[in-house]
Amino acid sequence: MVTNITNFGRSGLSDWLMQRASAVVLALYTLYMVGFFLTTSHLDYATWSGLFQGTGMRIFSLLALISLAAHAWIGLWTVSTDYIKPTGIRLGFQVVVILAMFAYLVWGVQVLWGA
Amino acid sequence: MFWALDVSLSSQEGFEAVKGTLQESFFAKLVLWGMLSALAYHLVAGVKHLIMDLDIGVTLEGGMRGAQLTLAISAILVVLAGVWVW
Repeated sequence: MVTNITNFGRSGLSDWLMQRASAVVLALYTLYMVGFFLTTSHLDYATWSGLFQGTGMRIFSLLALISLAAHAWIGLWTVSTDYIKPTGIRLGFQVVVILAMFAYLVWGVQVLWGA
Repeated sequence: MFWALDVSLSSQEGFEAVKGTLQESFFAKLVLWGMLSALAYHLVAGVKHLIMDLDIGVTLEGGMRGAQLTLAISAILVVLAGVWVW
């Protein structure tokens, strides 16, 4: 049995489930944002920054961000294990993906709760 | 996209800067439209996968119809995104 160490979850099944769970969260967040943009005419700074002041929206946004990190990690891990056969290049690619998602996560928290 | 979110939330001037860029710059509009189109297709195809996970349409015909539906819906969303951006 192939033992994987760079995948997201404990098993292929947990990855499969997390992929779906994160996808649903991201779909809901996307629909919410599209709804917001369609129903907000003459969007100004006050409304836009006001949207992200609310704790509920901040939690929802962070949940979406974490879901995005998991979704991207699992998704691109799947792609890389399918297409990048040379181990060195594949691991390098996976490390870049994981670091990028971590950076976006930290940046996102800073944007939502920072100065 | 993240940079735009960061700048647009930083201050009034930042918001105006991002708004201005999105209104004037052809390249910004193209990038935004491209990302929205990719997201639209990914979302529709993802929903199709979720439906297939529910054992719906997992026959040869079902697969064909699902693919055609996905392309049709995505095409509509891409056009709508284009109208919205431009």
